[in-house]
Amino acid sequence: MIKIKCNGKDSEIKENQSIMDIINTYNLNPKSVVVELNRDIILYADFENITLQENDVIELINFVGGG
Amino acid sequence: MIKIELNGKIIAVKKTTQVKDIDNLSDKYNQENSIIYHNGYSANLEDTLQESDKLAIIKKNIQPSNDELESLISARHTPFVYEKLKQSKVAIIGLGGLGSNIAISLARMGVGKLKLIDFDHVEPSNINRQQYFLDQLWMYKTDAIEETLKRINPFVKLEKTPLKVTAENIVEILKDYEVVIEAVDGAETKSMIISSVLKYLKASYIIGASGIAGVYDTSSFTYKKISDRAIIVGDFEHEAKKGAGLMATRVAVAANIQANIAVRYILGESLND
Repeated sequence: MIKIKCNGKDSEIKENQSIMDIINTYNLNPKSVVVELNRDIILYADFENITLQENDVIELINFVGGG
Repeated sequence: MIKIELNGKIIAVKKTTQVKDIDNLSDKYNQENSIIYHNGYSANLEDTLQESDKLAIIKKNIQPSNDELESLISARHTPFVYEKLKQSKVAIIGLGGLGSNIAISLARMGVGKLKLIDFDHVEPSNINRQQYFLDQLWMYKTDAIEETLKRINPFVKLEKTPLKVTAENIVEILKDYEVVIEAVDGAETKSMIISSVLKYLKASYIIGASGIAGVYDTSSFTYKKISDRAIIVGDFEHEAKKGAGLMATRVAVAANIQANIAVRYILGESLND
């Protein structure tokens, strides 16, 4: 297990989890989530490629439709 | 002598000049046929004018000259807000319930230039919440809103982009705009726009919206910041879907919260609260 901070909360996750894996655990549509990892914006195309590391700080901002 | 602004023109007056000394306002007939604002508020005729004061004297039932009109439109503004807004420009992506309301508020306040971006046409189901008229059905929204904005404030410059914003064209469309408002309908498009602006347009500030459907209490609207360059307005929960519509009252509140944040950003007000 590794420690990360997700949306301001400390949490423990299994090793070798991608950003896509984390989004899926929250049952969100990955294409409607804005992801900030250690203050960098990560685009959807990279969600599968980036694996979370110990002490990462990740923010997931989910968007819902309507305008 | 001191300098004051009268209907947009700088004039010099004596130091002890009162409002009623200007334009023969001590005359009862002139008083009754004028609407007078002093620094954005109903004037008191006995008040003494100070350096840099702004006075607007609006003659009832007379069409002002174009020169005067621009300053009279902003006669109720807080002083010096108009000057800053006139130098600014804002891009609005999406001209639906959010974007059409945002465009109208920013035009009324005198933002110098608006970039209006929407690929769609006006259709009957828009009328319940969007700022269009039945005689504008099937026009491009960019053309319809232009028509309306020109009737409200012809001094605002408009740039129309009747295109769908995509990951491929977004940088080209927005590159000259420091202030961008995301006002589109689809959740995936919203996410793409916010992510792209934060990643590629490092000089831009973006204001988005998420969770504005229904007629839930508007006190459920809150802000979320993403980095220092994005702020999102909404309840982050109530999406437009089967059984949950978009309604004029709540959408217009969200739109004007977004527009107000844009104005605060332009004026250099703190966005921490």
